[in-house]
Amino acid sequence: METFLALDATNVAFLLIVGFIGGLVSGFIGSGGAFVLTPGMMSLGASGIVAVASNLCHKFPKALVGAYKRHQFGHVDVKLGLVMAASASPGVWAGAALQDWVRRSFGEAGSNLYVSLAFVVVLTVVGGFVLRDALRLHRSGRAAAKEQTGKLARWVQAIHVPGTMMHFRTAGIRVSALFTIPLGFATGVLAATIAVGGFIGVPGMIYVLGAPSLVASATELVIAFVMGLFGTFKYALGGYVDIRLAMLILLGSLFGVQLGAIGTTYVKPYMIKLVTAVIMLIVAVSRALVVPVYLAQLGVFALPGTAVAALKAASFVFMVAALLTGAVIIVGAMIRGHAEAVAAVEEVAE
Amino acid sequence: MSRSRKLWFKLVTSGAVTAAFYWTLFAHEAEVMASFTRTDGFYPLLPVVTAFAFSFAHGAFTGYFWEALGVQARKR
Repeated sequence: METFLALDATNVAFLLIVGFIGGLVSGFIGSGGAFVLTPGMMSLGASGIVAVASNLCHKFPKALVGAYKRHQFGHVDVKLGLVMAASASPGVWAGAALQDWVRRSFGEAGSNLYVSLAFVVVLTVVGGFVLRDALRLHRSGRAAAKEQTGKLARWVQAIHVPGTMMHFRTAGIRVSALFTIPLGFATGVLAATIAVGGFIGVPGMIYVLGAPSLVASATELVIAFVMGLFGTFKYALGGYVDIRLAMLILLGSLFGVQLGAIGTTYVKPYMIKLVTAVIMLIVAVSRALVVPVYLAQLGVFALPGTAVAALKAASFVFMVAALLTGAVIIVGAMIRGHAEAVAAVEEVAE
Repeated sequence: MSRSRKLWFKLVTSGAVTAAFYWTLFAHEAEVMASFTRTDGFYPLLPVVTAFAFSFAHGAFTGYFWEALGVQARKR
């Protein structure tokens, strides 16, 4: 039987604050928080599996509330979300099976190394690509203009395979299911590997399918809801969900997710790309810092205990920094956007 | 009832329901944890159903909370 940690005032305050910031980022870019919450709960003393299970249990209701809010703003393409979620579910299963195989073959350190390398590779490549695009949009002075569909997405949309074509009205795209299926599957595999499928899902919907970034980040919440719901039930069958932890994170995160969703209505589309990229790249640094620790555990080279402790601490600081940076950019952009909106209303009144 | 009074009524009601949910969870912490981690019968559904219930009440409360503070979506 699993033992669950005792909660004191410090633990509760930590869960509330991280929950709020995670929710804020999630409401804005479609995913976030999970990569800090799971290690955060583990640092409080929860076992890895309980941390993952409880995280999922707060994630699906949070995603539901976020999706509902952004649906009111007309950002959610429900059909695209459900289609992606349908192929993401087998992706989660495959990702979990792969994770299990790595763990059985290379042990705990091997599994940690695999997860960290997946973080570093995916986040650096995708985050770098998204950042380049966001900066290009900003520099070109077209930041306020309507987003343009990229070259890859135009090619994808031009391919017509009879019998597989699907029209997604809110996203304003018509693409073959032959593209949504592997994309959804990859989102699921990543979700099972690093707990944040959105790092593939959101950029994938933007750059491969050609969905606007506002629609992609909102639709990701639908995918997160479906994956989180099934994931929670799967872990509950093993008795791993700590409902107290899950509901405490939810307490803070629902304040955050509503604020983040409102924030998207005040900013220019490139801001969503910028925040996504900045968070992804800082998290990549955080995971890269612990790679030597796992290599040392696997006996590749020796590392003194103080170096291990320092690298682990630095890694955690970077993860918290990723969320805080995201939160500061979002709140700052909201305040600027709000001031501009007020000025525009006053101008019209005059 | 005026619009702002209606909002305050909704805010207080959803807040009270949320508070009652959280109070129940932590006042009966030991019993809740014992039954929510059972793996037989319909017990695994308990965390899922609870998460839905909490999110409806608390999601409504947080929505009204930001609205009462004047933090609302930009109308285009």
